[in-house]
Amino acid sequence: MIPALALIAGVAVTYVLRIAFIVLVPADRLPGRVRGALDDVGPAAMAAIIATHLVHGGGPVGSPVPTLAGIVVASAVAWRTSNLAATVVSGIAAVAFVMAVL
Amino acid sequence: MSTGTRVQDPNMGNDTDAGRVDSSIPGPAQGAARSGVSDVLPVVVSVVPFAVVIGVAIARTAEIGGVLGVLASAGYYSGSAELASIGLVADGAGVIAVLGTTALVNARLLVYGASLQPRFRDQPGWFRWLAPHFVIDQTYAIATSRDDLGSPERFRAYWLAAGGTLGLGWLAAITAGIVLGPVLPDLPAMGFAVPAVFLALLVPQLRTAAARRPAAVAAVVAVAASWMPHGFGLLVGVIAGLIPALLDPGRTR
Repeated sequence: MIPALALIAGVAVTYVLRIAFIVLVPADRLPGRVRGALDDVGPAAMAAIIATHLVHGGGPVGSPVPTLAGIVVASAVAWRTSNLAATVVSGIAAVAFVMAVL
Repeated sequence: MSTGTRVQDPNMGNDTDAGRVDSSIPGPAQGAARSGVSDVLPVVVSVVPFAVVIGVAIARTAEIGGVLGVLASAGYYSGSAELASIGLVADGAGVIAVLGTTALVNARLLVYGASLQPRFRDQPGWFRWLAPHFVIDQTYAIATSRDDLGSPERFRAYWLAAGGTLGLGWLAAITAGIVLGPVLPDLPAMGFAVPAVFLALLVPQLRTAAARRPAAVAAVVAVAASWMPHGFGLLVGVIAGLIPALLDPGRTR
């Protein structure tokens, strides 16, 4: 019973966080400077996620070296092609290659 | 995106041509829905390894059965918070611990919601209350990377198609993890799929100085704060990335 209630609580708080600034307190009522900064949320969040993944030892990869190689290769492909699938495939291939060599 | 669509314009009176809509030609909303599916398919592939990890964690936690695990996965739609919650439940933690940890891990959804609110403002009530369920890193990133979702109809179709497709793929992979996890081979290189998706979405944006500044600040601070538990350092990094804009009077709107 407790595990079910705990997971329901987790689901409920996640939903409230999602709707908070969409329905409960619409973000267009926020101060102008805060709304002006919202354009930066995407680049900031994505960069923070990537950096955190690297510093935490590459997640399931288990070592920052293959992850660093993957970041370099995937970044170059993304810069040249702006293609999501090509970036993901090349990055994973680079990680697999470095892991096999090390 | 070109749709080449003829649609009925209510201001065109008795124009007989305008009164006929060729249903074989995709309308603007249909085109947006197709874009949502095609944009999110590589994302679906990229999250499969993470979803399988969650499925295996559910299967190995006696307190959570397969049915409850799948229902919770649909409810969370947020892998990092769900994985943290499963770990807490496995350790015998109570409701308050799971609620507090989930709030910390998912606090960034507040910021995503605030950023997306203009897209939801002119939508019908059911959409404003239910569709935020699909707000997560990946859907936020792909939706804000497009500049052709200005009309409420197009955004609605795109968001439901992308979020629904990702949700179905996510649940299917978690279910596969629950059922097949113990016999699946270990493919650690696939763990790079998630950051690779964010690189694909972020790097093209870095051609503009406006995106480079928050990205650089957020990355540096997230690394410096990475010692914090439960992913809190990630949130600190994101907020730090917004500070230069908050202090810049030229960015007020």
